Amino acid sequence: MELLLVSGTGGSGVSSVATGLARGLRERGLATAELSSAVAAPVAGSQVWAEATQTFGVWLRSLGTASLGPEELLGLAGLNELLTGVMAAEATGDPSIDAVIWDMGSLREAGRTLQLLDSVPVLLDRLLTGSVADALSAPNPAEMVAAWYRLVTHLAQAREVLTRSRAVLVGGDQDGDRLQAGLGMLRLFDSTPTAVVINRAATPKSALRDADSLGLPAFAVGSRQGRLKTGWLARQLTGLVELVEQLPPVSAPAWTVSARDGGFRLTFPLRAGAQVRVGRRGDALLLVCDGHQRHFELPPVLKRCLIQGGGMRGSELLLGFSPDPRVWREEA
Amino acid sequence: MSANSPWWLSEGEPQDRSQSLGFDLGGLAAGAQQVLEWARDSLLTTHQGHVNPADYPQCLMCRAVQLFQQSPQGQVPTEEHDFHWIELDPPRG
Repeated sequence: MELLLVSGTGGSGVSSVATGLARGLRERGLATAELSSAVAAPVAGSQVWAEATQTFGVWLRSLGTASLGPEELLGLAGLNELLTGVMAAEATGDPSIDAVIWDMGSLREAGRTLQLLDSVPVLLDRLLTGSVADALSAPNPAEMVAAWYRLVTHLAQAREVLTRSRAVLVGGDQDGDRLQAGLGMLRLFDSTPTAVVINRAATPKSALRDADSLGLPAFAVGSRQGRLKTGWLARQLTGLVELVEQLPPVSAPAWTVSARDGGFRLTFPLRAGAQVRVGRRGDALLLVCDGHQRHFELPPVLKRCLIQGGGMRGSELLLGFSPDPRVWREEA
Repeated sequence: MSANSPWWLSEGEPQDRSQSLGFDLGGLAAGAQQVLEWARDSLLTTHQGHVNPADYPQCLMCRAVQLFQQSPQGQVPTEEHDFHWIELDPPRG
């Protein structure tokens, strides 16, 4: 079992479901770590924080400007999400931990966090290898390169772990459309939607019927009078706990490349009806799905190709590529 | 929009990927992962004790540092690509 993201519509009880799921897994004897984007990560003492401040400090000094002290960067928007992502990657790589559950909050918050973890390594890369780098005159290049390399590696690991994560969507009785949008957002970032929980369902049977359109195993949790108890919730989620326990690890992203008609086709699952845009710069695509955007580095074979066109078919984005004659040799 | 589907939207079974591409994409991904793990395990830990990069020509990090120092005015050669949007067909199915 690997990283499990829990997110859903605002106010639907995402954190309660994440906690109940963690408890259910622990009761089955699995060492389960819980992370939450809403809880402040231990910023000041973390290794990645030291690397971030060192990298930016050296970078700013290289440009001839005053550095920023760690205390001046605390509270920076997105910092907590980045550090939680790094912690999730570290916990997922820890052999003594069987399952890692990351409560990502609402779908809006989850989209922001996933986009941040996707964009920041790209931005850091640009800062030190793009045209801005020409302006640098680092007093100690070794220090800068080493700190930058460690920081990018940490963030890239977090991004890489997310591409092998599974996701549980949480919503209420009437949240079908918003959960559909969440489905596309999670797939955009290579997380695999695995189940949906309809929480506080007034009529559980009807809620499950409505969730059918999501195409995922669905579990309904009824309302409870009085104070919510985690043990009660864990019992309500027994079916989900059993499903999660039995799932095989995600071994590869859901997108595929196939050869057809002398070219190649990239198939990227998103969601039916998604508002999609695609842009290209060099070896990378910018994929935009319902306002969320992701930098997607093309697989090696497609880097040497030109995009012929594309579009949505059902829930999948299809892009056609043909070999770029400038870089492909004619076959003998 | 034309009535005929362009080939990237058309139905039908794709050709076998491994044969058509001349290599195994899965193997390639596994290889890349191994390189990443090797870099993580070996490069970062061993480089930390290297004070003078010139003394460690076998260390990739030291070589990168030296390259940086040797390039004229500390410049890193870059290739700039333009960004452009792709025109997509209307959604189908």
